Amino acid sequence: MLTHRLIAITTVLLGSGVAPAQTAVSPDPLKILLITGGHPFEEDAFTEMFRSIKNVSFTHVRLGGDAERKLKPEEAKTYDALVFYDMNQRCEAYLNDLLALMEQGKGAVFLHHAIGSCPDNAEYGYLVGGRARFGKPPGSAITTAKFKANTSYRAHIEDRNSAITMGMSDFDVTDEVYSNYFVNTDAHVFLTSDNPLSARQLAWTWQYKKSPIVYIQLGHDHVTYENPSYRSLVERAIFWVSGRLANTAGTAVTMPGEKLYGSLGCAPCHGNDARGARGPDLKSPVLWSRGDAKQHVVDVIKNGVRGTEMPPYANVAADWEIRELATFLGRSALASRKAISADVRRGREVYHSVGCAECHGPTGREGSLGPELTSLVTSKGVDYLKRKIRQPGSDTPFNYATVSVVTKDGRHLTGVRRNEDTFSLQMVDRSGRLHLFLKDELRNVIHERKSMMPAYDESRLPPDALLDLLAYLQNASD
Amino acid sequence: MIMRSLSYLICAFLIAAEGTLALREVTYEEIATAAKEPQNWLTYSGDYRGWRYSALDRVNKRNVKQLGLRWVFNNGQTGKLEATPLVIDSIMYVPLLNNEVYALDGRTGREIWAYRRPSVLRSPSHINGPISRGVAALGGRIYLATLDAYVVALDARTGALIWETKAAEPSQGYYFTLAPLAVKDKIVVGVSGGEYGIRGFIDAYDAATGKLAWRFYTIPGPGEPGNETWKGDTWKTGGGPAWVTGTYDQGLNLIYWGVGNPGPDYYGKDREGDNLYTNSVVALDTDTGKLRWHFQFTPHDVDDYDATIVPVLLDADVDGQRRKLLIEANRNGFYYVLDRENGTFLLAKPFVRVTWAKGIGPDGRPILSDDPQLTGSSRQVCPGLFGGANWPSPSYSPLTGLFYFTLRDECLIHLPKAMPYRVGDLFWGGGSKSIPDGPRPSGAVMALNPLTGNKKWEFRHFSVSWAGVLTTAGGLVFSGDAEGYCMALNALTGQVLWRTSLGGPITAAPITYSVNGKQYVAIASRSGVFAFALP
Repeated sequence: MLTHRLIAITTVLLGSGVAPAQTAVSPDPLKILLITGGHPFEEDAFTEMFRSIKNVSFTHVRLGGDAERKLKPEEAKTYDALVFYDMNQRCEAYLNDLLALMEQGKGAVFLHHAIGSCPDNAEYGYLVGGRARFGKPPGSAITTAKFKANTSYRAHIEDRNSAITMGMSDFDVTDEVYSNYFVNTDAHVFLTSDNPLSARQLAWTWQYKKSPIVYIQLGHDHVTYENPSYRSLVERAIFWVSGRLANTAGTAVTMPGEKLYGSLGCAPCHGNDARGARGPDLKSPVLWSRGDAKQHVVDVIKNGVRGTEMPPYANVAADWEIRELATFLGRSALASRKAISADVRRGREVYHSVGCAECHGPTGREGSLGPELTSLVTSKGVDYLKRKIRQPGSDTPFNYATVSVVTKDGRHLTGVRRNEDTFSLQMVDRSGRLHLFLKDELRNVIHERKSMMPAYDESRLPPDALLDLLAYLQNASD
Repeated sequence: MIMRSLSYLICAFLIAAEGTLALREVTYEEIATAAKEPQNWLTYSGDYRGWRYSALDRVNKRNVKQLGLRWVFNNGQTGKLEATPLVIDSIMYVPLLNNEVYALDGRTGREIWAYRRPSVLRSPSHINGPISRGVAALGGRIYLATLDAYVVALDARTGALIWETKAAEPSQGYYFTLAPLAVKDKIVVGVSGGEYGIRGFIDAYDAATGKLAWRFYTIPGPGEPGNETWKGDTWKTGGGPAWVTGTYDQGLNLIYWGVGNPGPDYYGKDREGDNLYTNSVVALDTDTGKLRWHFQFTPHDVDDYDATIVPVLLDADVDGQRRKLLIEANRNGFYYVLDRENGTFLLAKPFVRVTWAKGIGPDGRPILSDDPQLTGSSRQVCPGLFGGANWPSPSYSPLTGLFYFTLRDECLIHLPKAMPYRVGDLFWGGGSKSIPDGPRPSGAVMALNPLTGNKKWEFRHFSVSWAGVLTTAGGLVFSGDAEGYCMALNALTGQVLWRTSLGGPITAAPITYSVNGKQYVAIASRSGVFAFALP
């Protein structure tokens, strides 16, 4: 049986006309760690697929077996990449190790049902670049993903310039499809489907922390394992996350510009996030709406600005480095203007039902205790807003920090800081009232670490509702 | 034409009648005894000892709350003004941005003359902006050290250029931001450019002719003692700027000058060794520029801990013995007391959070910390590169016996990275960033007992201030903050007695002077020069 399959595969591979992956950077075989568990699969056929990849050696471990130990950063160090084909409901045991590996830039490929792992952990979904919850907790209103086995459809190469799909053509598969899953809007989708039973986004590249990530939805059983196009995708994905596949336009995952931002010393003046401090906001939509924005930024970095503290970098950094830096700034700025396709009308309902209006005004345009949101979605970007909604409290802007005061007559008030200096404090309290305090009229001023904005986790605001909400705010800003 | 001549005549007559125009030629002896004429502010720190203290007491603790604005001078520029004005017989001399020097009537702020230097606009721009921290006065002349690395003498009556001498090549990263120090017949300057791979120096020029009298390289060349503290050729590009005005002891005939960081700032692997005389104070013979002694605060620095704050000179009894002291709140976070006759280390005490060193040993050398956050490619360190204190001028008040300075409480992450030297380019060797969600940086005016380093009080600023400190015989401390407040504090308690907002961050040090018995307090903010007086 096994032999028979092998021959069949070889034949198909030879006849497929798929260009072999460019793997010539290093002749050393890639070492990959294959992690399974939590979902049944045809093990022989699956591992056979990996055995067939040239220049790859793999170690197969199971969650609940050796996997947790192997994922310790010290152990995982010896592997070039991780491949996840698990569907594990609880990932606390290894998630921190996995996140630490992502800090180090370890590449990872997630296949098929691995998108459904760790449904209760938002960070895991962020890591994969997408998220699915199969099976609903009793009494919960959470959106769940759907699956449909034995569905035949044509997989469409959405991005033909991606290193992973280079030279490939659309191909037919019969596989288990999913729908109703969440995909990060920043993920670079390179494979899609038009089948109504399937979600559109089938596969993507993405960067989480420093790690290149690929997710491929395909791969339920041997029918797909043996599909040469699928094999090619998996193989290239592995090489790509290991940094062994020549990168081309559209899939640039490493952003040298971001590193240059740190090493050229931009942060002390322009802020860690380039959103401006002593120097101007480098991701400002005003700046990047100029037709010649990139050239302008390149010129300023090269030549400096006379009469200011901005020095010329023409000889400090190479031309390509300056261009990369400008590209990075421009991309981050433009990412904020990326349109979200979601239900604007529903977003409006969400805005009111989860209580945004209480602090941000009836349409999001007003702002009082909280900031005006419709311009924020444009200026700071969708990802910023997402992060702020899920996990408010870190890097709160100066004029929205939480402050508590005790007045001379013993009254305690908590609110949002509008402005402050050595002698005075302006604060908006919970009722929206503005207080102009002189500090010598106060007994105490306490700078709280926590934001007044409540955290909206997925139980309060499911992913699709969040997207609808963002689409509404974006729409309202136009 | 006749009318114009006539008006000139009338002006000349009025000035003669008033008898106050700066036709006076300030002598070296007068600067050496500046305390005798507190109506004037004759040199950068008010006197040669670096005290920034005035014997004027017309404005004092009782009446300071009545202090009100007399005038504002703005030349159309806004930006970071860092200048300390000089005042000589009612005329104020102050450089604003791009080395524009103004002579102003100290009572009204009206312009008498202006000197503009076109070549400065063509010189490379630098990370600190086109600032100047002041001018020097000697013998009817005003001396300026320029952004294009010249030393310039101007006629104090007209602003006309008398001589100019090029000290170094600006395209190689050399420039000046400091106020020169006029001592004897010399004009002493220290160069800026510690972020550009320069080889730092302190120069003395003949005040009459502009001829270079001597040069002290802050980094010794081959064959000179100290050169062995540099690996290979790294001494050639090792930095060691001397960008803040030093002090002078007439009796010992020594000039005390702070030397800044080694280069590249953050990356030290290529320059293993102590890197003398970076981050040191050097004592130089005034006549020859020869090194008498040095004391290095931070050997082999990788955190940009320049030793460029004004070294303050003070005589006091230490263990029953009268000693000539040099005190400073160093950028590395420690307060130091040295014997200024020979550089003997007497005391060091931290005045702010310090993580890079556990303490200072009995020999004055730091005992390095083993904090794991300090190793590797991301070095989280307190104080951060801007230091626990920086160039803002400190003050010593003989009235309270306390030492006052602007403290900075800020930690940062430094990101060292190897980098090649290219002539005239930034030679940082890495970058830096703030600590995500770390404590908000803030600052204070701190009052210390100068003999023990013990804190007497501190007045907390909301954020980090770049303003210097002035003390007066009125029992007051004047300073400013980053939100634009200028304030007067009780010198004994730190209590705020007066404040006013100047509409832009204050990054300069205040001075005081008087005209016809009326005392003024003057300070620059982003929006210009402001002068205050009682009604």
